[in-house]
Amino acid sequence: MIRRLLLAMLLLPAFASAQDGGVALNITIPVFGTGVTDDSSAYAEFGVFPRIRAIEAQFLPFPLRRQLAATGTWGAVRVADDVDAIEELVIHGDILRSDGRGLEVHIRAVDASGDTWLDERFSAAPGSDSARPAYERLFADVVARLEAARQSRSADALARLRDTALLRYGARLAPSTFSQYIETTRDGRTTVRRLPANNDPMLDRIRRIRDAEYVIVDATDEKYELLHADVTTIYGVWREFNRQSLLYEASDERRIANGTVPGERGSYEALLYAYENYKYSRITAEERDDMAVAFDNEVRPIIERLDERLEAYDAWREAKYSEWNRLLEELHDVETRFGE
Amino acid sequence: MRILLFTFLYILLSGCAQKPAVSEDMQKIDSPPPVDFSGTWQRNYARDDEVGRALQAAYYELARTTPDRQGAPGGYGSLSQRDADAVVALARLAELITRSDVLTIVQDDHEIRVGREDDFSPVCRFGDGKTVPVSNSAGNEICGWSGTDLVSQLSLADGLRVVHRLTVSEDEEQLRVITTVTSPTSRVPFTLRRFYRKFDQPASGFHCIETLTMKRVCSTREITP
Repeated sequence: MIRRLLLAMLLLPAFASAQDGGVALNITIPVFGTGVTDDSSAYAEFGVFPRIRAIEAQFLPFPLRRQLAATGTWGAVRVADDVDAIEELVIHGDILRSDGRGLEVHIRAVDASGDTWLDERFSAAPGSDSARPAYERLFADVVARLEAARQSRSADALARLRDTALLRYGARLAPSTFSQYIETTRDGRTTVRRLPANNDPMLDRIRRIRDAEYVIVDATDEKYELLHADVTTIYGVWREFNRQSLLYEASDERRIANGTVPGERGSYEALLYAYENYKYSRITAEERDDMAVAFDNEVRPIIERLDERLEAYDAWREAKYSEWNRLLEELHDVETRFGE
Repeated sequence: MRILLFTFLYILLSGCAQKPAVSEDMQKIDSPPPVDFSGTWQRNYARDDEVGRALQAAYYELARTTPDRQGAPGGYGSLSQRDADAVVALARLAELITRSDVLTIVQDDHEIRVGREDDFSPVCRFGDGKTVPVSNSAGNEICGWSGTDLVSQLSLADGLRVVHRLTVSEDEEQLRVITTVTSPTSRVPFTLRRFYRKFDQPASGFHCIETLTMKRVCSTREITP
């Protein structure tokens, strides 16, 4: 039954694909790299809870997407867990540092031809404006740099990227048909050798398959948005607590460095002062650990729902890719034989 | 000549006192830890050291190592007020540090955390076959194993040092914690022994987790975060 539906979808006349004629590039943002290992010893080594970093890696693409979408100059901006996503422009992010002192992210934006638009570190300090958190300011810089990179390219070059992305997508699903149109060098750069005819039925099918995939991704995305809204508030509280905690720690360190030890050397007061300085620093660190656990306790169910959606989408995509791949190769075979 | 000899012995003994309680060898560890300390431990006052007696013992040690005017070991009469005050300061600190009635010890393959009332939790972390120090601007903690005893050493400003040695009985029902406080301002350390019995905390009937925006959330059912 599913096979029949898929076949019908491939053979029915194509609907016009979205944004035909425009140069508003579609963007995919894969889930960010965490920058730490999953090993819990990462906490001892880097002061980072791997679990929380993993949550941040899933959360941070969303505010970036929102800011890109708000400019109105880009096409669809999607978040995916597929790091090998083929899109007109793919934005990879790696979290280098994220704590109460600020956020540092490495951003690399690569287009469908393999051309790198952006390969830089961005950072932002927490600041005093809690309504505009560090990541919002950081991503505003990223968006501005991407916009500048976009404007430095001609409309023709941007339009070519759309063709390149579509042909690469086609070559993944129907290599027998589409590999002839593109050439990929060892350094990952892809050029279009020639274009198929605009009314090429295989190209039409590929467009429809990709649009179908977009429908699924966008539906999943809507769910993400709702989950993202839940996480935003909790993440804001977490970042603010972290910021306050580190400020307190810094002021405590200054007090210890500049403070006068009470009583005579060796007196109970002097010993107690030394002990309590250590004790309260440790208690501050323990409270931060407890807050990290509390953050994880609250966000984990939301993230797990998100993961389930991602897994369901992945399973769907994998199954459909292999099915489409087989059907398209069969069609290619049939059509080639007719041609002969 | 005698004075010189006693001075030499004093310097030697002082040097010994400053040797780390947790040597490099003690910090090496095979995973998992050799003893299970986990559980809730309640103070056994019947077996505890009495602070007054421990102080007497410290005075005695101080007197024994204090030369009199002729250079021979002196008695209590040879103790200076300064020496006595230094030991009392250590004793007060030791009593404060060991006042917790309950110890809640959580142990896994990565760390042993000793939860105390109204104080921080000494922690012993493991990684790459050795224990990992914990530090902040006011001091640092290292830990290690002496046989099946867990030894934790806290080094603080001005040479103040607190060492805890934890020993579990063979039946794993009794816990002994020997706490020794030393300082360069006192010629003798001060040691207190505390004993604990394992007990099972009665189940409250509620399962609770901490959250960030809703604080503590409890349910009569199991909560899986």
